[in-house]
Amino acid sequence: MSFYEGLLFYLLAATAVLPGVMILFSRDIVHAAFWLLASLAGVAGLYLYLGADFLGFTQVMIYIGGIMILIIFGLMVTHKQKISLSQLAQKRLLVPAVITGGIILTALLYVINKTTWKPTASEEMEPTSADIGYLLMSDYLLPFEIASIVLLVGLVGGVYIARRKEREA
Amino acid sequence: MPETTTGALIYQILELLPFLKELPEFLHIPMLMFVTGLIPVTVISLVGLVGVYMERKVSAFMQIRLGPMEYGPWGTLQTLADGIKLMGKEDIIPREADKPLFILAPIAAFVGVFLLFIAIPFDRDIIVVDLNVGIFYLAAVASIEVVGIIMAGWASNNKWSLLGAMREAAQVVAYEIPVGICLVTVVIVSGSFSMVDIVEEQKGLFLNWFIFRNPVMWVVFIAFIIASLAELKRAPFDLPEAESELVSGFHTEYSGMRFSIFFIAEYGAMFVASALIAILFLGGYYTGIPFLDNIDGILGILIRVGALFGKAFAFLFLQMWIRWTLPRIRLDQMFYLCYKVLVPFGFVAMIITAFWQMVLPGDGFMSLGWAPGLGK
Amino acid sequence: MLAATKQLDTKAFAEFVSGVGDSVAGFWPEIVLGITLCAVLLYDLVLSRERSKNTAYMAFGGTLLSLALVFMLPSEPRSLFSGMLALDSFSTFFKAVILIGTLVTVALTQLDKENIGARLGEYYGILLAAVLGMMLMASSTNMIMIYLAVELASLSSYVIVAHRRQSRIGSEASLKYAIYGSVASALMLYGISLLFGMTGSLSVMGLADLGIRMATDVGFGIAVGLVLAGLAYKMAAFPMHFWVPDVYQGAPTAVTAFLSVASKTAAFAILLRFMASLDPGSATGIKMADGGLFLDWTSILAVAAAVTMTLGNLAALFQTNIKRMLGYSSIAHAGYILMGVAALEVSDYAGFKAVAFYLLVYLFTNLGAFAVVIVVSNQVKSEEIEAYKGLGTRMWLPALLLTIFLFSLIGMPPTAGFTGKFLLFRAAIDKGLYWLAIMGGINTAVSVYYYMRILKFMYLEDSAEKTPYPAPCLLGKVLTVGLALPVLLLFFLGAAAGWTKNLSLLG
Repeated sequence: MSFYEGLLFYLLAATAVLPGVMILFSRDIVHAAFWLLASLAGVAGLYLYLGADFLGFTQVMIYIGGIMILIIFGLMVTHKQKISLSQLAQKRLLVPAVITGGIILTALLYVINKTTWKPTASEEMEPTSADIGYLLMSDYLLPFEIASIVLLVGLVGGVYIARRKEREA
Repeated sequence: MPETTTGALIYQILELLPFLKELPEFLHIPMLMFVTGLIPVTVISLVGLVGVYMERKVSAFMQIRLGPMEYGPWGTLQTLADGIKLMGKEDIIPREADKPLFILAPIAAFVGVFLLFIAIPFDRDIIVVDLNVGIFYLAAVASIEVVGIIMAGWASNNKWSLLGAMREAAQVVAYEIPVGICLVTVVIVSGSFSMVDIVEEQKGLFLNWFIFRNPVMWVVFIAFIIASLAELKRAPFDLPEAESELVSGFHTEYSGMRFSIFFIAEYGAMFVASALIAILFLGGYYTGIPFLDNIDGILGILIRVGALFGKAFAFLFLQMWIRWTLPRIRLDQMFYLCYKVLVPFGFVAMIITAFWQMVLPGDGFMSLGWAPGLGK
Repeated sequence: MLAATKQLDTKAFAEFVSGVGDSVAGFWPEIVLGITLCAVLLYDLVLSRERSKNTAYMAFGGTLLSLALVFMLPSEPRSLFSGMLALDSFSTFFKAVILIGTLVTVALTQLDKENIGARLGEYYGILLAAVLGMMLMASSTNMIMIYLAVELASLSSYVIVAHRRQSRIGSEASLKYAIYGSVASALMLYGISLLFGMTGSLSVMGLADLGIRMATDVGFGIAVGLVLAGLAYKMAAFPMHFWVPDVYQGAPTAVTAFLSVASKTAAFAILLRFMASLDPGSATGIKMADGGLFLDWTSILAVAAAVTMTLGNLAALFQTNIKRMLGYSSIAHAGYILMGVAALEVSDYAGFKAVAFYLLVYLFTNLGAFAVVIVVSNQVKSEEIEAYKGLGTRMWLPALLLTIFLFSLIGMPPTAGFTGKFLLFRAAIDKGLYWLAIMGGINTAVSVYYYMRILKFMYLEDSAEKTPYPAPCLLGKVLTVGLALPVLLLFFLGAAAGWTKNLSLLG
């Protein structure tokens, strides 16, 4: 069983990471968007692998069903010809970018390896949705409510910025 | 991996197919995955076949025609013949198309529908996995089919396809809201995300069905039917493939097998939506007549699976009926219906339901006491 | 199996409900703001598009009520909503500062002719949402809550920055603000997730004992550093300061004023609370594993302070637009205030008082300076420093008041800026950060040049035109004079202002 568990984990991890690399190297911006989608799906798979079923499907619903569709929709509305990402990248920034990225990568790898993590979740896989519901309605009541105001502001603000131009014209 | 109940289909397959156990051990899991995967694929294909035939016949009768009559009795083999023809067709990919995405798109659409079938309970134990978050899972993976369709529209490199895909994206994102509200309302009543739990809550006399649970559930029921039509891009919401404006929308450039995969996926999704209406509001695999539901053994299984299929096909018929009756609505009417009709009505119904559950938890009308002795 | 069989534990439920009731008693100011913001949005949507001025009155009234409720909050420190917020004199003080800033901002918006009539309903609604976010920032003790509060404040700010009509520069400012902001909030969220992984808790107070246990851990240092980077963005400090000039110039002046004081105040409130739980006084910091290099939080903050003020001041020297100049000056002031944070000593609250007092002074000073900018630009129709030529004779009152505000920004007696800076410098010296105090001194000297340049233009140079401008409207007079009075009075009350003396943190 553990062989397949390991295989599953590495497959999911590869699904999360390799498309991420492909985003960097794809020339067409729409391809990059679809690679991002694949990467997010891989992350959702990892959540499920870890037993976080509610979180995993929330990831699918919000990122694949919502955000990615809107991103691709936005690309379709705005595109005139195929946008080549390699044109946007500036050659002179290549060296600083690689150096910065390298430093960040090293630091993060160091943190991940050296830190003593303190896992709070139990090893056993249990359904999480009921617990999440209780927590949202008890300990995390205030963040839950504030999140609704954040969303309200996002909604009103988005419409407000988009409509402004139209009324002026 | 998410929890499975002990009665899950995968274990029954092991019982039914003993030769699986004789295979080398490392092949068990791949074989099981393959066999379990085969079942939804078969059901989708069969439902596709029947659905297409049904659509042809229903549309014909509504227009006082006969429809297909040549192959098989009453033309029943017509769809099969068409399928064989489509398989034999030349595989055409337009030169300017985005080739990888063009090939991937029908697969993505089919996978989306395939994933939906995993969580549909045909009987208490006939479900691929009874996910603890079943209904939430359905709402989540329903969007994968849309990704396939948008991919197709983009990859075809054709303005009709692109317009169709954009309409699809806008429409689906809009109608996810009323669908979500309806699902939440059902979860409030059932107290569980699990599909089997939702059906088991409706066991007993048909008055236990969720549609009768409180005085506003029928609003949710109707809202869900309308919103699911829009999610399925069925007429009168078939703007993404509006024949008179966009040739045939996102699949204009598709032909042969790829086209038929889109087609099967569409009918598969229609069936899932119909089955979902039955499961969420009309008792799922229960007939609503207690003594029929309590039969054990193979006969009982047949009755229950038959009940679900019967209800699902009734709604399939309703979808076709609507398609051949109503004209297509305009884009602005589509948004109006969503944001100004379904969403507010859905919200009000959800709030009323929540209060109803708080004041009269449990059996709904039954607990009002006017039908003593008829409860579970 | 069925959830229906899961009976609600009625006793636990009753306890929970009474707990929420207790929490709500300390949460009224925020609730009033929330209701006001919904009311403003609905009023604008349903009742009236024409009489948008009424929404200003509604926003003003709601903020005023909220401010009154802040003063009536129970004084004994306690925790609200299962450890999400802290109700202590520290958060109450900062909430009051933010609300006063909001009151002035609402009035400034009405003063600014450029804004009148342009969809003010949504503007005020979103402004109040930003204020709500900042008030939550001032009292959050849970990292989820901190992140949400910062996000609420930021998202709202992005929108109101783009408020200016027919302004490409406003849209550009908003876009830059949003892009840099999302990077900053991503960094912060990543830091929070690392901290959660290390501590297994989201409480800020939980960092206290952990900080000592893991003082040698580089990972912990990086995680804290990432959170601090997110906060540095909100307070316009190095290394997240580069958005400031463009946003300050592109935003409507009232919004610029609001961001420069309220946003900064809220960010410093979180920073203080965060650093207090790390207890920088006890020499915690980042130590490389082999023990060679040790960076304690005090020096890290001190270096950030020194770099921030130097960068801000040097860039301000060459500005020709007064809003841009005030933007760089605001970066410099973030540096001065960071000096107080670096001198933080949990045992006797030394840095706290200096920072709190300086933020109060800076509130009046900077709002006053921006109020004068609005009054002037209403007449002169320009925000270039060149346009201030000869203003001393043509608009004597605003010019005089601007002199007071600029003196306070420099830190010259007899203005409150002097007292504030004195307290900050003393905190740094008490802590032994002599080099930092000297850096601050040099920077102050540099800043004299560009503040005085405005005075030179106003009083020593003549413009071609000599006729006086018409006197500013009543609102303009009341606002500018009303803001100048505390700037003068706080100098005399100064350290005696008992309010900042008794600030204490929960936990």
